[in-house]
Amino acid sequence: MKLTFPRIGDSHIYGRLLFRELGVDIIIPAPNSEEGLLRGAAKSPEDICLPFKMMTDNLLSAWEKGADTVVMPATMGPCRLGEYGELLAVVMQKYGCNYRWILLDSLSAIGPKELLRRLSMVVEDSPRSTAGILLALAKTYSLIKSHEKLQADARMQSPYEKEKGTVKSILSVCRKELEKADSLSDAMEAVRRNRHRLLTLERSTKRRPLKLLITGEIYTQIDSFGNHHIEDTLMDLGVSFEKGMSIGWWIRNTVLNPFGGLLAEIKKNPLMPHRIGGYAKETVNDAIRYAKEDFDGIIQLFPVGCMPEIVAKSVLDDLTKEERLPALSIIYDEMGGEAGYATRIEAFVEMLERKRETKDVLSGNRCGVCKH
Amino acid sequence: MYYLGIDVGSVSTDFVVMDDSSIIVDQRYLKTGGAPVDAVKEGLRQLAGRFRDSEIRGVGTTGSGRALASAITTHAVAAAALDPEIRTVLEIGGQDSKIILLRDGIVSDFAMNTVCAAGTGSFLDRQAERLGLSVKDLGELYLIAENPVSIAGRCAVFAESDIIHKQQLGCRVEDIIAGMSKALVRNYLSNVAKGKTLLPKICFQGGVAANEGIRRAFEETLGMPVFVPAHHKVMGAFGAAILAKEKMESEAEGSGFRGFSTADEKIESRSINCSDCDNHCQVTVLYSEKGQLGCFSDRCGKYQLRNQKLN
Repeated sequence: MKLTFPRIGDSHIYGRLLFRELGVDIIIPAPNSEEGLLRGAAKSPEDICLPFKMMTDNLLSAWEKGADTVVMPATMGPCRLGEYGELLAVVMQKYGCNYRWILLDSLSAIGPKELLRRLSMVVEDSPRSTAGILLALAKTYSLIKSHEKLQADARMQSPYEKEKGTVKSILSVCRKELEKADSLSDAMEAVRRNRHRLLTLERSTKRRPLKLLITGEIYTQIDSFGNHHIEDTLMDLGVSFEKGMSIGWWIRNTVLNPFGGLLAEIKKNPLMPHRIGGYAKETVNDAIRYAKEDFDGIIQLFPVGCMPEIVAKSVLDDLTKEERLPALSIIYDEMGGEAGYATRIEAFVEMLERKRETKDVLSGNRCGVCKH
Repeated sequence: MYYLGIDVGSVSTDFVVMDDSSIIVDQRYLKTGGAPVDAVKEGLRQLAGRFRDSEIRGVGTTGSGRALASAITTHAVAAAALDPEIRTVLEIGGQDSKIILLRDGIVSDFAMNTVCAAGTGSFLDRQAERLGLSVKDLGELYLIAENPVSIAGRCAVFAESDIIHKQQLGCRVEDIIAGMSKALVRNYLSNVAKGKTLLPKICFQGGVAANEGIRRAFEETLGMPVFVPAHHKVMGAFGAAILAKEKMESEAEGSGFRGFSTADEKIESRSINCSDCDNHCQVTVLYSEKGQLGCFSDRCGKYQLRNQKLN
């Protein structure tokens, strides 16, 4: 069995290390690229969203490299009425990629017995004992957690760097080391090393950067090709930001806590009382959280045609008016041009900065550091 | 002393020379024609005769050539400088259309067209060309239309096929133009300005503001007067010049202006496909005879000149 899985953000890094530890053969799809997107778009159903087009290309490229089994979290829920994985399987079949499919739907959707059966298919080739497998899973999860912690810290720290681009380069060095790491332990060590570099970085404390919240659809939030490297753009602009979703968040919300969806459903939210599919409710929850904390603005990302996020967007439009919450929605599809995205993000940041300057002058808070 | 503002857009490249009291003393509106570098050189050449290098205290750039501020900020600053009473700016350019809401002279909210360029200048340009008219004619024809036909404005492709269909049916050209203008305005208001509160005074700027028909269609739809400033085509460049002035006054930095002679330098661009990492950036580097001038699109920044000053 040669296993493969779609790329999303750093999933290829974590997947490679995990399956290496388990002794399962895997094929990593070619990196997301413009050409790949064009091919994926040509083979996907018309009007489908960007993540689907990317995944189509991922799986085509893995098939060419010799993969024969796909493992993919499907969660039987949020997207395309839960038929996302099935639709992808049909498309692959159509182009002669006769994959064997292991769709990891959520516990609440397929029950514990079926889920265990599917999970055991993933590791059927592994020479490891059950305990060894569980240990590898635990180690992978803790790697994901610490890598994401590093990134979260970097997002908050980057505006304070003395030399521009240092924080960005720490992240890219770390990513490269993880791609080359031989084992989960090596990878953990690499993250620790880079975290140390980040924490000991010389900082200029005089700056007072804007603080933004990134929210929206999960794929475009996580995958840097999907969101045209928005994190780099924001770091270049010198703002600090938090991001709602990550692979680790998904694991916590779906795997470790099978009732994550249920919790989101019952969470009180006057603007969106019910989950309407996707992560629309999470987006609105994030926005409401913003209103309570000291964020300066919110950026919502989603691919063209993402129904749940379109609904969330119109809720955000209302929030903008009522709560004076500045929100920018960025919609991604096949357009490769960077200028359009850069213009919108820069304009948004400039607007927030100018707004704050005026507010400071009006409230007599001129200097920004010492409140004089 | 003067300040120069340059706005490189998809359709036009605009120049504004402004004096110390923020009065526009000269302006140029040139077609970009897909060759932004040549357009900038041409503009500098035209201005070189009227101003000396030493008279230019600062230069601000915006649009695709920005090194100072984005199009939203420059348009907002220009409108606020023109008339502090302005609370809504409608801007329709070649490929972007935007709405800016100003409160007390600063941007309080803005929106731009998202994924589609329907209802922007290039659509109008194309239709005018297809009908064998100039953009100016479009405005005049709107005014004499008696019975505007309905055109689907949601999508430029569908709008075009609608227009062709109505032509084949024998509808009068002015009625088609009026229908198209109304469709564009409707699309703008329901798409770009969706959910925004438009308060007077409303200022309409950008290249499309030259089209009297569109302005009239806005007034009819909004039920409010919409005014077009005299320098509506070069508002972005005007804003860039104002910001350059602000910046030069607050920071004691010298200008990085290369001088009007840049117009006569030979400037070449070269594209490199960098394959040093997974990003595979397509890097564009600009050269003059004296060496590298600048470069774009490298994510990691290693092709950038050290200590380079772009503005």
